[in-house]
Amino acid sequence: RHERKRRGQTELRVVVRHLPPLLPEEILLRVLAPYRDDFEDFNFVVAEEILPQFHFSRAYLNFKTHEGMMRFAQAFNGHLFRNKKGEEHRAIVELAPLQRVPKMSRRRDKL
Amino acid sequence: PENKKVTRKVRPPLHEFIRFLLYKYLAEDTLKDVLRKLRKCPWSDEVFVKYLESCFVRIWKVKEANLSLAASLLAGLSLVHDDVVVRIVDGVLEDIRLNMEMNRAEFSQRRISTARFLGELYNFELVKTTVVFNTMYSFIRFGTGSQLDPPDNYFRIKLVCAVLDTCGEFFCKGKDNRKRLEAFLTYFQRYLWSKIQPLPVDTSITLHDTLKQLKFDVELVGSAEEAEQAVRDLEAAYESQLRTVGIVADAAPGINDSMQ
Repeated sequence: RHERKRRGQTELRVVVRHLPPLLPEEILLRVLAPYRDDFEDFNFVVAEEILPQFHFSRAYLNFKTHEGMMRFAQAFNGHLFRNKKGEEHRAIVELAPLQRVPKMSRRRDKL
Repeated sequence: PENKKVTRKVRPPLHEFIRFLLYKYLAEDTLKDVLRKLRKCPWSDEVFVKYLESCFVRIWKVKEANLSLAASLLAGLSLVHDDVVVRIVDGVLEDIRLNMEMNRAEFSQRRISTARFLGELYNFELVKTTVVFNTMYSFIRFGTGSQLDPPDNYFRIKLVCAVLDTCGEFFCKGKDNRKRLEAFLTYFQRYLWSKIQPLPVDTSITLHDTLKQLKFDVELVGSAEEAEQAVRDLEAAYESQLRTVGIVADAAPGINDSMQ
């Protein structure tokens, strides 16, 4: 992370939104395979039915370089997913509003 | 007449327990206890973690007065389970955005709760200033003028006020924060004037209460033209500042620009 700071590019976390709610993680990973070398962390969030008829899955990706991120954003933004029923979902690629990467504590909770 | 049977959702006991802790038991004097009990939960159990996350994202179920306690819980949990807390904050921000894309009146109260919760997350240093300002800017920019935020809809003003009510006082402290707040208020006023005038009474009251509470002498501009001029002045000042620092003014296209 220090390296990122030095290069003045701290914003490398991207969210892919509006994914089909029933899309399995494995399939998404297969679609993302061409970019697999560009990002390091992958966090998939399955759609929850909070808003009726308006829920999507999403995925957070941490990229290693700004170039890799831009390449992905340009290629993948608007990516069309179509399921067997013919429903279409267009993925939206955005900079994640929260850029924080979780601090992994090595301590176990001693409670 | 037949007695209508109330069907109750059957949930696993652990889920009921989390709901009880967050939505019922949580109070000023039980905060420590709730935190302790949550920490004792089976964090290696994926189903539990998922459920806890979704309970926190549905923050409108928490009593309004307890929003800051809920944020405080997350601050406590972030010391040991930061990954979960980050996912919850992600979820909250996504909910704010998704609701803007949908814009349904029946969820107004929820959205106010979530906006307040974002402010509380800031108070407990779980999100940075930038996140709060970006969200507020999205309130006054995202889809404005379209059917997502038509000129005769004043709800977004209340969202901005909800955020400022909860954490605005911190924006009045410190030179950088003040500057950011000032800049935001300039844009905000242009947004206010983009609405059909006059503002409804309740919106106008909320707005004035918020600004008064900020204890920040902002003079409200008197017309759409003045608001527009203020924004132009601000932008001109920034541009000349950038030039003196030597940063090239024409910014590289950002990732979010490409999608509009």
